[in-house]
Amino acid sequence: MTDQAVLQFGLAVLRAATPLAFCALGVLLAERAGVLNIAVEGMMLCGSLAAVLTAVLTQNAWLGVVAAVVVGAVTGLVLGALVVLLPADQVVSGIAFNITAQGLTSFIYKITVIRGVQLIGPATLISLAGPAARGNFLASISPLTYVALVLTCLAWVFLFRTGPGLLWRSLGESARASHASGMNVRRARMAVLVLSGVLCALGGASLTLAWVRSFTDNITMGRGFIALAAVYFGRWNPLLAVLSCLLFGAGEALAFRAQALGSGINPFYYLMLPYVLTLLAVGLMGRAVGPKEAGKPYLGG
Amino acid sequence: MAARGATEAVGPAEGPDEAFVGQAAVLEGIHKSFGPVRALVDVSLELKRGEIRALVGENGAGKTTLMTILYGMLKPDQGHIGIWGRRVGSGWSPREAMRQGVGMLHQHFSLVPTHTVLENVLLPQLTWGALRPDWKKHRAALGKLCEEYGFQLRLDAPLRTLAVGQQQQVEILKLLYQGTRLLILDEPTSVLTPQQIDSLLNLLAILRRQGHTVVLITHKLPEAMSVADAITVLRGGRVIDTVARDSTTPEALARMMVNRDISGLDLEFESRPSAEGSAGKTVLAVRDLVVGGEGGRPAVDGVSLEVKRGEILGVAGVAGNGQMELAQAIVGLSQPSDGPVVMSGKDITRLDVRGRKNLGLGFIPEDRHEHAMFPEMSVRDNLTLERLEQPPLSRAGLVRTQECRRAAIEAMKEYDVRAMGPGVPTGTLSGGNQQKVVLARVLSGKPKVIVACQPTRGLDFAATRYVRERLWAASEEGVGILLISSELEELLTLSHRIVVMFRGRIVGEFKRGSFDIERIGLLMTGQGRTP
Repeated sequence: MTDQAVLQFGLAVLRAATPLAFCALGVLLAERAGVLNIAVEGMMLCGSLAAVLTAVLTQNAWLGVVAAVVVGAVTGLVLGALVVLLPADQVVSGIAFNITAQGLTSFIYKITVIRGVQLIGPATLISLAGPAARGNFLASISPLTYVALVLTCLAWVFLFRTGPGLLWRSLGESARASHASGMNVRRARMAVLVLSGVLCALGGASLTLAWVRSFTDNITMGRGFIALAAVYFGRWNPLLAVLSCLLFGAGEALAFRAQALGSGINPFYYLMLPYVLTLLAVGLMGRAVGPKEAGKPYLGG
Repeated sequence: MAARGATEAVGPAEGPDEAFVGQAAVLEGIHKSFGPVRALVDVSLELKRGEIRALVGENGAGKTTLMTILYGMLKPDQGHIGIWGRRVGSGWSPREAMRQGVGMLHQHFSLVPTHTVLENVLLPQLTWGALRPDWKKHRAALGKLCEEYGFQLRLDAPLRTLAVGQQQQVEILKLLYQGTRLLILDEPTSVLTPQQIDSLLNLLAILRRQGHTVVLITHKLPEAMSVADAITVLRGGRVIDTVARDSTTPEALARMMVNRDISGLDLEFESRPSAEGSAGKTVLAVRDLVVGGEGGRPAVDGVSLEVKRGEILGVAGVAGNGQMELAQAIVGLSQPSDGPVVMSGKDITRLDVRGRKNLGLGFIPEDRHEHAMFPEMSVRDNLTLERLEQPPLSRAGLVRTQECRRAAIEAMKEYDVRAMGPGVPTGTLSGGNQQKVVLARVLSGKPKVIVACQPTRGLDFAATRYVRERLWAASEEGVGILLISSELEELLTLSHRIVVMFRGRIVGEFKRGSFDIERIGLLMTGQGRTP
């Protein structure tokens, strides 16, 4: 393999890992505050459509990112209304949310296609320096990847090195204790879910704007769930979770690479790779204990 | 209507009030109902600054309800609350109470197990805006407080590694560090060993010296008598009387609490013959039993014991020293890694729960709701569940509901289960009646051995007495009983023999007639050794 090939592979890994990293952060922050965000897949899907649609219509990729942020916040509010305010079961609500999101995004996508809009986004977010970056590794990385990495470090510092981070983790470990120490558990968790929705939607945006550059039905193909597994594999630590995202992203990049090389093996086996890898990782890791409150509705004040 | 009453009650008249001056807290004409149940009826109470007040009464007397109202967690239907000489407004809440220096130590702690001691204590001080709390300053201040109160807490230890008694200290430290000057403690001694109780009571005396006001909710009269300045007795949601400690006796208080003479109970058991003792044949035995625990150290570490026919063997120990694991291994809920479980000479180690039950092993689990019954299912279903497959409750594989109903009504009569009928969900019954359902189910199976874990936890006098008498009667009929309890008094009352468990081992054994409370207490905390 030439240097160029290694470089290209590295870029492919980062491209595949960035959407996972955003989603993993979204899921992790929610779970650390005691909410299981199964809806990550649907949020990601909403974000990816909103991003590419806006980017195409305005011819500005960054406005696509803004649209994803807004849509993500709305998805967070919707999920929050279900699982924090009602509160309904977090797993069932999450699954329902995903199914709805899949139907809704496909529906909107069909309408736009019928109207003759080609959902192929401007490519400006694929690399930091655009076409001028040829050969320069750092300049070839997507700005969204940098954003994800910075957010990962910020999330770690916030959770484990600040006062509010301690409050955040308290929400995930004991809602009762949090309430007793004067916190408004529901309000805090609503805010957490809005942020989680934004991050998951950004994951979707980085999928369509910084990698695939288009939208198709169910384009996320379970990547949200892979992110969910990455959080588990990374033991609810942002740094480790994003590292596992890189691992799963490598699996995905490898699948495409191997497919392109054409080794005579049925390409579908390669496409299974990231999913098999996820299954193996989670299976081999054994039992992990996450935040105690994740998945439990809080009925108190 | 009740809601409107509440706003009127603690309405706009916030501010200084002459009637309240000089008092730490005043409750005036408090009424509170939960549906048809009148929990508090016209209760008035004054707490002087700097006093320790004990609030005594049976379960359901309204002690905790009254104090949760003072703390702002519940709104009274009627009545006024005054704190530090000022009437409180309609916005009275735990948050406001905390701000005014009123703190409550609940029976269930509000602590985060994964956080350190320091983090837990600081939790109420943290805000979403302050990114960097001054840990150093807090650490120094807390270190000083710990020294002052004699707490030996490592501030950086994760809370879950602490014993219950220490966790309680953390909770108290948290309250004091928030600036609590009126401290309400709800049954604080129920989880403590005798030595820990002593140091808690000492702490209360220190707090009084510093000018704190303390309310001690308890149903243990000796504690109230040893430390309180005055004692208020509640019964059936009313204040019966408030008496100075020096002008009363435990007997007088007990009479006020239950309105009948109850002191006979313990004496009765005292005078009963001390069982067949070693004469009977062994009905339950474990030898060198080892049960795995978390983190490598076995939860039960080589325990051997024998229960004779008609004997009650008490297992004393602070919760979490392997008693529950022992019970689970005996009844078949978990598999021991070593050592046989033998019932009447037959090795039952390989049998499952049902197999052991069929041989005559009855089990009263510690946690009523989790393991002993199905709260959502009816009394009838809970009573008949285990015998459903046997005639006459079923025929040709189908359940005969009329027979079940009849059997349930019979059992309810025999075991004095008070419920609207056999069809009501068991979870809606009072704790005492729930436990009677459990007891009825276990005893109606005609067991030869009963493993009873905390059989009277959370029950009031009458129900406690009932359960104890039933257990005693069962033992007199020849049932061997392994009684696991953290209530020392219960063990002393019922047991023919007591063994003490500490860290998964048996560290002492006492025969009836030579029970030594002091020694048992020391052994429970890992000090001392049997002579």
